[in-house]
Amino acid sequence: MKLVYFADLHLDAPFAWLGGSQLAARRRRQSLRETLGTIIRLADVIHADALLCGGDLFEQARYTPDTIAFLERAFEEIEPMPVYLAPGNHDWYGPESPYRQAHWSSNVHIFTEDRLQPVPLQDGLTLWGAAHRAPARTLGFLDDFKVDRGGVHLALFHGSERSGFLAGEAGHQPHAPFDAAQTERSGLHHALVGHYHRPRDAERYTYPGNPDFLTFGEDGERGAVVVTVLPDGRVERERHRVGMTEAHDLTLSVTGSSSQQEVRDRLRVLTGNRRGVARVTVEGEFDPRVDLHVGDLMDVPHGLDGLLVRLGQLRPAYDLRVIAEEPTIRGQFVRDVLGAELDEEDRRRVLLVGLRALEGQTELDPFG
Amino acid sequence: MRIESVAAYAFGPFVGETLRLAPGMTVIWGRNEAGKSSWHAALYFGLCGRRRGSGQPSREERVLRARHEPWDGGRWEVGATLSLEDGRRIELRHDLRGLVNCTAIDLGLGGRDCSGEIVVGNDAPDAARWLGLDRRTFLAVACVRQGDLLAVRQNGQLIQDHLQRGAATGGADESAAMALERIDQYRRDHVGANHRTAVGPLRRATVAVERARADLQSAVVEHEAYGELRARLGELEDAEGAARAVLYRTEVARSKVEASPPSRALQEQVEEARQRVERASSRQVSVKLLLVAVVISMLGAALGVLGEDRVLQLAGAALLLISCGLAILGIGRRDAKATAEALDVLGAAEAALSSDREQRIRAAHEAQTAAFRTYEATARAAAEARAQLDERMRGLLSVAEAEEALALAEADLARIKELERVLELTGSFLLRAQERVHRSVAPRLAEQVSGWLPRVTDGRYVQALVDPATLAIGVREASGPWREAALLSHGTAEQVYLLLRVALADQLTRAGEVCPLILDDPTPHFDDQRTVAMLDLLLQVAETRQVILFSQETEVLGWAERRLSEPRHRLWRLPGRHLLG
Repeated sequence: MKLVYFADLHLDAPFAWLGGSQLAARRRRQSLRETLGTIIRLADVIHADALLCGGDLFEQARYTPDTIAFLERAFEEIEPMPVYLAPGNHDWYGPESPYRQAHWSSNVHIFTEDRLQPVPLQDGLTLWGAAHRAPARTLGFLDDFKVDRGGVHLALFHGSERSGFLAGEAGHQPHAPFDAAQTERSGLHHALVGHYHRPRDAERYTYPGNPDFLTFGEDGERGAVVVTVLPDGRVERERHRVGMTEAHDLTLSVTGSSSQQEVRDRLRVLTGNRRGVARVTVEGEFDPRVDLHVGDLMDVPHGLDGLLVRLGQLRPAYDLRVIAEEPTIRGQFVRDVLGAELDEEDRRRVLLVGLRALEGQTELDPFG
Repeated sequence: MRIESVAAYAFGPFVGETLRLAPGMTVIWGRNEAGKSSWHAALYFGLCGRRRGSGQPSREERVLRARHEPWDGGRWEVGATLSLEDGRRIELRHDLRGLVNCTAIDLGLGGRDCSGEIVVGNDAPDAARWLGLDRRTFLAVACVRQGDLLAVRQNGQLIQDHLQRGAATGGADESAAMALERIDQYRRDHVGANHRTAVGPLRRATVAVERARADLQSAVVEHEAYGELRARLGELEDAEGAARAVLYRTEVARSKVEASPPSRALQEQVEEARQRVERASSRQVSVKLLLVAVVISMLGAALGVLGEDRVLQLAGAALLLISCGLAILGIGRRDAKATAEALDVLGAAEAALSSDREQRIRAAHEAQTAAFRTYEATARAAAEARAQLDERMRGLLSVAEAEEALALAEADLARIKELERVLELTGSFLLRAQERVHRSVAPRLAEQVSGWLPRVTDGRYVQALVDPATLAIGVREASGPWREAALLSHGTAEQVYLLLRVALADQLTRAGEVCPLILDDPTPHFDDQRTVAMLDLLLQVAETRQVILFSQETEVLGWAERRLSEPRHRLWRLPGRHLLG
């Protein structure tokens, strides 16, 4: 039995971090759809026995009618291959859920109960699935659960393995929590789980990770997982990259730049022929006369789907040690600011604004 | 610090020339075009070098370069030899063109390059660093230009401005008050107020956030309404399907009713009634009548036979006729009553039969009609919901895009509020620094100026006061009121300004070092008496620091010839006309 498993696609997710570029955000959302197309083609090409999604396929609060029509068509295309969907906390199964309202083809099976329900995949192999029926406070599906028949048992749900939560899955609440040990105790041979975006292949459970790029800082080999279920209940997993988005986390040094134009030129070279999305962190020592407005830098022509420019560790090329020795107000100002209890970002900005004001510059907030 | 000599290896009009300076006061005298400005610049560059760094040079740098770079495009080099208060003698050499071969050789340590002491970052060596200054502040602190004095002559307020700038940045840049005003102006331009009628960035950003929030709320409400409508449509479509099924069933039922035979029992009842009518309507023999007819016929026969008279015989015949009639009646009589009753029964049975069929067909029709109405109502409701859904879909806003717009607006608002906070914080730090430095420097400046003031003003003014809040200068006569320096006569104001420059230089120079004073033709607007007084003052100042004075005034030349004697002091007559190029 060969299954193609994915989760956390988050169709229609917002991309506020792109800095308000509506076009770039739309491209990102389109890319998520194309990723689902890739997953479906993968299932088709390898002649998978079923396609499984472990929740957060889309976002209930944001889905568009077009997305639902897209999903209907996408799953219909692989009919009669069964498609099993276990709603998560973002696409929870409620009265107004598209899961309930859409016109699914007959190969689509949606788990609608908030406790694990069995579906025979083949003789001796049962898939247990459950749905989040609310956006929060869903109890653990494995609490007090025990399989009630023989054979091999898989589970498909959206939940939080507790050690992962403690390990700091940023921004993820512990929905439907479970312990790794519960999987075995409940008689399940393996759980296919969604929610955590960081991919994880544990002995008894698998998090595939969000298959396409959602935000920066995502690491690990994410994508769709081809799960081969062996007769004894063990699984073999093969990860496939299905997201086509190239994400570049870049650093732009402004050290030695004498004008904003030079910084822009450097940025243009850095982004160069890259495709996908890029986050550029501006760092280094810069000439205090240079205005580094992030908004201006975002205007640099590029061929990316999205560009985010942010300021990192920037040091104006003032010799604060020397200035601090001056018996002037400027010296006193620098001494006071250096000695004050400020966080480093505040200290940097206050020094920069104050020194620029004393220099008589008109642009006091070069990072604004 | 004392500058022993300036070497113009290749600078402006000079090639391989040296200007030797006295440790006290040096007057460099020359007429116009004699090269005073070039030596002045050579002195500055020989000491401080030229800024090394990427980027566009400042306007001042461009002017200096245009005026003093050799026109032949060859090397551009200048140097100076100086002695520091710690006893070291340093030979500086600046490659002003390439800015690479710049050295500061400690002549007492076998030629060790000590330029690292006066290099900050990637810059070229700058000997002003030994004074706790840099090439910009050195210019502002040590160099008194003719224009400075002229400006003070035209606007006495500039004394206070200069003091404020000096206290703030060594005179190289803005005063703290101007910086604070600049910060305030920047806040007005880039933050602004946030009341309802305000139009500045903060208000605009606030309004943008409110609008984006409202847009998001609308998008969410629309989305929820869409979801509800979609769910409602689902229910209606289910109901429509169910109603369609009911309608189909009633149609089938009606067809069956219409095609089905009448009720068998009722049919039998009708048949029975019909038979009964037939029976009732058939002729029947009346035994009674026949008996009566027989009796009458017998009586008639008896009378006819036995009757003797004709009357009796006629009566007998009549009776026979009557009996015949009765016999006829008795034989062919029909029971009209029974027939009528049977017909009634038949009618009732036939009516029942008919009624039963009609009722059943009517009931089937009615059921079908009701089902149709239900279906029609649900179909109409579903169609309406579908139309509403289509309509809502057309106007459906993207929640994700509304969220992105709100995030952008909130980020912009947060940026402006953050800027406001940083500006306030900066302003408060700057204000405190200003108060602290003013409080510290004001009495020291006043004390130093007061020591010299009687001498330079021929005893007219005896005391100076510097306001710690504003650094405004006041002077007063022995028993007179305080007078603002800005309101003094031009000459006195210039003198007070010069004294303050000296005092300020002392305040701004690193402890243990003494800043030379370089004056560019300071006395053209002085009368003879005040020129001499000023030069005498400078000579006194030269007892504790090096004073270098460039002049073209013959009064100055005359004074220098009379008063300056080597080796402590020196008069340097520039030999001839050094035309640029």
